[in-house]
Order: sequence, then C-alpha cells, then structure tokens
Amino acid sequence: MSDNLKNDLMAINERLDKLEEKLEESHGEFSQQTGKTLGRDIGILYGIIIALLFIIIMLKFHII
Amino acid sequence: MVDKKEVIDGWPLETGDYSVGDPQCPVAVVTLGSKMNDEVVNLGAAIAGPLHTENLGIEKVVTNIVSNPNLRFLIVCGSEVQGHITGETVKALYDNGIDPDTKSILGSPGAIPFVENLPIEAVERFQEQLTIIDMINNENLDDISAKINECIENDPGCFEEEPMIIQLNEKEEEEEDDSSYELMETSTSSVDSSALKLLEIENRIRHLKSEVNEIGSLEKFSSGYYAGKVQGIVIGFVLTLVLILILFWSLKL
Repeated sequence: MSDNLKNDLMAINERLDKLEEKLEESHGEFSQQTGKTLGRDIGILYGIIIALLFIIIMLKFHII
Repeated sequence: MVDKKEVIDGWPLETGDYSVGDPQCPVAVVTLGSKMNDEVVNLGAAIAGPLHTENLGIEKVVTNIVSNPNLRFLIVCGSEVQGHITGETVKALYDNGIDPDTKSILGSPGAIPFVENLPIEAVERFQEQLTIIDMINNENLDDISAKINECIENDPGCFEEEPMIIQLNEKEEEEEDDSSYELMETSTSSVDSSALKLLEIENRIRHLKSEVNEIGSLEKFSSGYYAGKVQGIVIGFVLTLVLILILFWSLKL
C-alpha cells in the first residue's frame, strides 16, 4: 500500500469518526426533544384532569 | 485542408467503455466519472469514454491515442473520480511523465498511479502528440461542444510520426507458469478467507454498536418524556385552574 493511499485512508477515517460522533449526538438530541414534546402534550392532559378533579372536590366540600 | 493519415485497422486497439466517431477528427475526450460517450461523440469527437482507474484505464487511453496520429487534443472533462483522481493523473502524466524504473506517474494524486505496461516511449509520444485541455468537473455539453469546435478549428494536422502500436501485456501476465500461479492462488485464498472473517467480525461490531446507540437514544427519549410530562402537568393544572377561576368570577359579577 502506498504512503499516499495510507494517508488518504487515515484522513478519511478521521473524518468518518467525526461524522459518526456528530450523528450520534444529533440522534440523541433529537430523541430527547421528541420525548420531551410528547411528554409535555400528555402531561398537559393529565394536568387538566387533575385540575378538574381538584375543583370538583372543592365544590363538593363547599370550599369554593 | 490539414494533413490526415489513414487510421490503422482495428483502431481503437484496446477495448473499453467508449464510443467512436470520426477517427480523422483531432479531438479525443475523456469524461472521467461521467457517462456521456454518445453525446460527446455526437458533438464531433473522434473517441469519448469515461476513465475510472489511474493505471489500467490510463494505459488504454494512451494506447488508443498514440495509435492514431490524427488525434491532437485530449479534452479531460466530467466529474472527477474520487479516490482514483484520474483527471489530475492524466494531467500529471502529460506534465511530468513517468518514472522509468517504477513506472509510476510523477506528481499524481491518485491512489495507485502505475502504468507498468506502457513503455516510456509511448508516454513521451503521448506528451508530444497531444495538447491537453483541462475541463475537469465540467459536464456542461455546451461548453464541451464549444471546446471541441475550437480544437477542430485549430487542428494542426496529423502528428508526423507513424501510429505507435503498443501491446499491453495483461494477457502475458495471466499466462505465467503454473507453479507461481498455484502459489499465488493459495496465498490469495488465505488472504480472502481471513479478510472475510475480519469483515464478518467488523459487521458484528457494527451491529452491536448500532444496538448500543439505539438503547442510548431510547434512554434519552424516556428521560425527555419524563421531564416533558412533569412540565406538562404543571402547565395543564395551572392553566385549567386559572381559566375556571376566571369563569367563576365572571359568573358572580
């Protein structure tokens, strides 16, 4: 294998490593954002239900 | 009218993925990684074809060019072949020639730029006979057509020397004695099997790595989901309370 080819292969591998690292980071970040969005949407529904139950209980005991 | 020579029988001598037009035309076109043989030949070129390798491919190009003295221009166009860098290698061959001992193309950026089957006289003839026109990474047929026409207008006539016929000895190499062939075959098969095993291991490692990455991204997803849910519950609870209190107050008023 010529020195030229070796150097080229090393340079290509280095660039591929960097790309792989960036891709993993981006993939993780994207997964976290997607999870957060989904969780918040579901959480809002939970929050509404909890608040309604809270108000019903307050009304039942004539607190408000 | 410029002088032309009779083209030898069976030209182009070397086979390849090219198209042939008028062999009296002074322009040959190498389209590197781009496949546009017929289009370029229709524009007036004598011969046009891609060039993927910086060793055997260049040997064939040189053989076909020096065997036709009518060819005086070589247009190097089309997209450069990554790794092999054949366009720059042709230019290096034209500008610097080859090392007579190692037969490597001087100053070539290609990976394996060796033309071991070409005699040095053929390279010198290639340098003398031709003018190279650099249009690397240009696939525009209008530009190529303009350049071909310009070359035809400036045709200096055929090269004064007779066609140079080169026998590329690929076949001779294949017919080497049996013992060395067997030896080579044995060593090649062992290399192949170990290479296959290495490839399999590499694939398994890659698979494991992708699984680990998948687990990592699932972990991130669930942590994000949990954080988002807590945030959402607070937002939903507060908003609903505020809305209902506003509703109550407006009803009382």
